[in-house]
Amino acid sequence: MSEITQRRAAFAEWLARQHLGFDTRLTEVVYLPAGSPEDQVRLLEVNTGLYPEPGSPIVPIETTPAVTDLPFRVSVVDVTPDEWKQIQTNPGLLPAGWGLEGRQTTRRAR
Amino acid sequence: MNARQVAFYRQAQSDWSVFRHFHPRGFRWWTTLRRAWCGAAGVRPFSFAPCHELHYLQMCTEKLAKAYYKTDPRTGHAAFRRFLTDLSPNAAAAVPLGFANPAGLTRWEGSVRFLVGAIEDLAPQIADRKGLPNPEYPWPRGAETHAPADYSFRAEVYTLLDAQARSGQPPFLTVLGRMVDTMQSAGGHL
Repeated sequence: MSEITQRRAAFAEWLARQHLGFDTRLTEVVYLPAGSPEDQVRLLEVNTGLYPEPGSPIVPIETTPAVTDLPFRVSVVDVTPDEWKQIQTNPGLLPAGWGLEGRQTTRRAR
Repeated sequence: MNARQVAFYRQAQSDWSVFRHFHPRGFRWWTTLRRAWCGAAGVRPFSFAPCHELHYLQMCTEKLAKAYYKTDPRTGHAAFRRFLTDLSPNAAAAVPLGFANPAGLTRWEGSVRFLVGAIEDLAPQIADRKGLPNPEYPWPRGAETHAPADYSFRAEVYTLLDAQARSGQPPFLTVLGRMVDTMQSAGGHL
């Protein structure tokens, strides 16, 4: 694993813990490195407080922190627990170019 | 900001103005004084039910959150927590909001966590799902017997608002006002 890949994974885990710490509706945050550019961190956040419109496409939002010299862009998709179950059996529901291979899951500390 | 963000931001500013009309700065002091004067003068005080200010407070926070993102988040009405979650590591946002550094913003966010959830829960779609009162429509849905205008929302919102204001952290409404004022600053949006 290259240094940049390790740094990106470490940043993703830190960010995942930040998000889990603030938003109690999040049950897990999944880092999805497959297919992403080296400078992009892709997170999937399973959110029990999400009520998307039926049929609403799963699209990422850019949430890059405005931090000087941060070498990564951050994209996040919010999904419901049911949507996460569906995605695990059908990864085609993810945004184009996203994949589940090599995913790393951070869960709320009990 | 793109055109979509500007549109949401403008509406958030307008919602905030209406909220401040119902709930001006120094609200508690003014309300106490007015009630005392009206009582002494034998006049019934003219006032609005709290549901109206809470309606605009919820709408302001939702639209402000949606203005932060270039594209629409999938959060529906529950956008404000998503926004605060993403604001926390945004180092450039701390100073415009009155914090010396991002750690100060993070500490403040800890103090508003439950309050923010309570404000999101005011959206009728969410309130109905959780069996909670909302400030717009009578409830419960389908068998309406309670009017928002007759409800105090003390347990749901005002107790949390008061507790946060006494927490030693900057009051929620003060920081929210700064968010409305500074969203277009360099650190305020993506």
